[in-house]
Amino acid sequence: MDEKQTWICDRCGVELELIEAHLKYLDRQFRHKIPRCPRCGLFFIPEDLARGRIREVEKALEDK
Amino acid sequence: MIKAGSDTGAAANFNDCLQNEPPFCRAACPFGLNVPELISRIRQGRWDAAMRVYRDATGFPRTAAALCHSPCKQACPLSQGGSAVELRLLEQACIDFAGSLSRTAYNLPKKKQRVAIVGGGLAGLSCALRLIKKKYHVEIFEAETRIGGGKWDCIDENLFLLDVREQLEQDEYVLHLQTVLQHRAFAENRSFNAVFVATGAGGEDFGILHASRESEFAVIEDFGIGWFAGGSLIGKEGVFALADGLRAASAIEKYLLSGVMRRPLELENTRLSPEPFYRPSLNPIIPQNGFAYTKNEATEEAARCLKCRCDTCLLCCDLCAYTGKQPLRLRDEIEATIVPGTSEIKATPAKRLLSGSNTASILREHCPVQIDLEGFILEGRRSMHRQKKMPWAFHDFWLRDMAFSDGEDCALCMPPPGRMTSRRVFFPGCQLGASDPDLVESAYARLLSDDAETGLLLRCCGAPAEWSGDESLHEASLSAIRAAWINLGSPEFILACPTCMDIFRRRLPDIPVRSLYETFVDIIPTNASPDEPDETVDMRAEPVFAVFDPCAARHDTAVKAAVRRLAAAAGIRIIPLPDQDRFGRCCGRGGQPSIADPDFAFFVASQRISESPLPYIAYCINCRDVFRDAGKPCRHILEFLFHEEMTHGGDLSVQAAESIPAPTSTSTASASERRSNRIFLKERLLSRFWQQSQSAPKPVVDKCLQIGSALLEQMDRDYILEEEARCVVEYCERTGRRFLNPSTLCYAGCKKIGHITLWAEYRPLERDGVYELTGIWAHRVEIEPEVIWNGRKADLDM
Repeated sequence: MDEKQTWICDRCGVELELIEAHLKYLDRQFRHKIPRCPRCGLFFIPEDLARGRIREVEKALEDK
Repeated sequence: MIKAGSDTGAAANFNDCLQNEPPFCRAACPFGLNVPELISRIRQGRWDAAMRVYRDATGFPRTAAALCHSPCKQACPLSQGGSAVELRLLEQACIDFAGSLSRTAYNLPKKKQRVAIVGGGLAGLSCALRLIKKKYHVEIFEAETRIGGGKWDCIDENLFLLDVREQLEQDEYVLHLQTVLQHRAFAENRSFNAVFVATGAGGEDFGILHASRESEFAVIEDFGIGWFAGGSLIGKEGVFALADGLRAASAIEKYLLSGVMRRPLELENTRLSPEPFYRPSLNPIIPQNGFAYTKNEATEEAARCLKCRCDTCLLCCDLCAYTGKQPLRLRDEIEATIVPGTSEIKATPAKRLLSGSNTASILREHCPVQIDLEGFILEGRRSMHRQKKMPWAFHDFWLRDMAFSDGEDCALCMPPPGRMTSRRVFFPGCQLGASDPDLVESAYARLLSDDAETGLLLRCCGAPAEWSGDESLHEASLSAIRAAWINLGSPEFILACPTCMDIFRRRLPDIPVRSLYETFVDIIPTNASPDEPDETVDMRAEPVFAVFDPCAARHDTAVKAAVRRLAAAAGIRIIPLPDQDRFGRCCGRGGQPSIADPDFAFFVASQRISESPLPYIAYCINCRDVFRDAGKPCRHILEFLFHEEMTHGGDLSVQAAESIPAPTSTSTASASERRSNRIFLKERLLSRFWQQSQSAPKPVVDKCLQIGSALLEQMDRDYILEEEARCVVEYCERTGRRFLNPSTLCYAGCKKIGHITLWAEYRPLERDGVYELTGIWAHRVEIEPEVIWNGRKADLDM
């Protein structure tokens, strides 16, 4: 699966876009653009994002 | 293991920590020389840097080296076993091998305060030197025709003058020779702000000694001028006079800056105890030329230094060893973390440390001042919990696991089969059955055959709640156990798990308890003589094991002996672990740090399994599983007792160890298996002993989810349960909150479970209602869902 995986919102049938979301962890809150369905707002965190950047942010906040 | 008393005042002993206590040589040195620093620089061959350490401490290094009578040698612990480090020769080597002894001149602004030094002897000059370097206006008044006071007879004139020249050649000061001062008025007349009187033994004291008789510091203030006496005038001779002048300079500067009149206290003592440092030492290096070291000789001699410092915590406490931080530093980080506050910039550096520490009660037992780091960490966890900042994702899994153990699928409270009252009750704890349900079943069967009035209680002792800092949850758990105990007729509890034993003894002291292993020693026929197990076993016997005592049983000599007796009865030769009596340390599971800091948990397990190359016998199932997961062959002692019965349904007696397959390091139950094992155990026991059938627990989700072995392993590492994966798939299918990958025809979606958001990627198979899991991952960051989106309110049931 070398080609970039394209996920679509199953309910709305539209492709996801990077849309700002409200994130919260360990009493800290911040906003960041994550893949979301532009029509219904459902957010999607793919595995590489969860195991990569998000894990880094979690680790940073846990050690902060 | 957490003992009573750690709950309150755990911070008390930290202030007594010996971490910053000076070594014996430094405490004995009139100058308080930083010997460890000096030694370390000599060992690196950094002669200029080493000389600077010595010069800055002594003021006049050549004079100090010549006058020093080496009080450090008596203080050095090596003097007990052989010869003390030849520090004076090392100091001389620094002087000999440094490029230059002169100080770097800094272009600092001059200070306006004026200081008079009365007396140009050792004390006067060293005080002057320090103040001149600080750019005060200094005038030295000497009655004789040359500086040096009364010390010309005990030191080489040229050496002293060379020293003075080297140290003061670049500085400005005023020297008044042949000037005798007799009245305090001179100071006011010449606008001095402070005067240091070092006129020698029996010299003019300007009334300071009489006026300051009550003060141990020989200081007075008179019309806004500070008067300080020092040197041999107050009984400090030779090298002590030199040191006294430096100390007086600090006091004078403090007075000039703040008006406080106080001489700094002399460093006289250290609270370190020398005994731990006594050891036979190598002979000292003798200089080949008879009086001074070569560079090589000096570095070799420096290598003999023990660098005495209190490092008990680094040796015995895993957390200190792993982080390299001693308790004072850990305390500061924890205090900063638990102090209330929600500011974005508030530092909370110990969040991971608080949750990622294992049981460290051993530190309190070995620390010379009994620092209770474990109690302090536990108090920190509770404080965070009270502030509603815990539990974090770190403890979430364990608390859900505890709730599951105590839930109706697994928990069981039964009087003995066919009876209403119990004389005793078997309480195996939640982990033994999760890991190895057969052992629980066999042990209960054996107890029943010995005494038919043995009831059963399956549930958790509440340790995860205590470790998470949730006091009320732990109290609730303890209350449930107490209620069950009363319900069963207040019998004695037979406990299989050392951690349960610890919790019962501390938190449920009215419940009589006994370990399963002591009980088995009484009821299982063994050939071994109880008192001399070693002699009953052929010393050539195989197999050979080492018994690993869990941290919670460190002081439980009865259970330790019982386990060894059971092992001996199985024909096993036991070779003790090197430090088993001194250091009964945690396997890395106690306190449950493995989610918060898996690297630390791995570090601890690696340390424990490397204590001996032999396979281990454990009697805490957590220890066994931790070691097996780390690749160490390890068996639970019950495996030797019941192996035969479990495999052949044979007689219940201790099995000869030869008949048992070699211990393997594989096969510990996964997180999901641990849950199904508990369900199986309850069903099995109910059916075998009470002829009851437990209606199989209704699965939370009846979706059929196929999971490949690689994914199962990954889920186990990530502490994700199969049931949870099914929950996510079911949720996505039910709500339609899912994404589709048109190229792979996989779906993906998430559900919040406890403190984590769990994502599953799956594919529907041809059979209706059957899915294949193709990926699973989780994150702890919470993402606000689309409650209101484009003006529409969504109905969420996350």
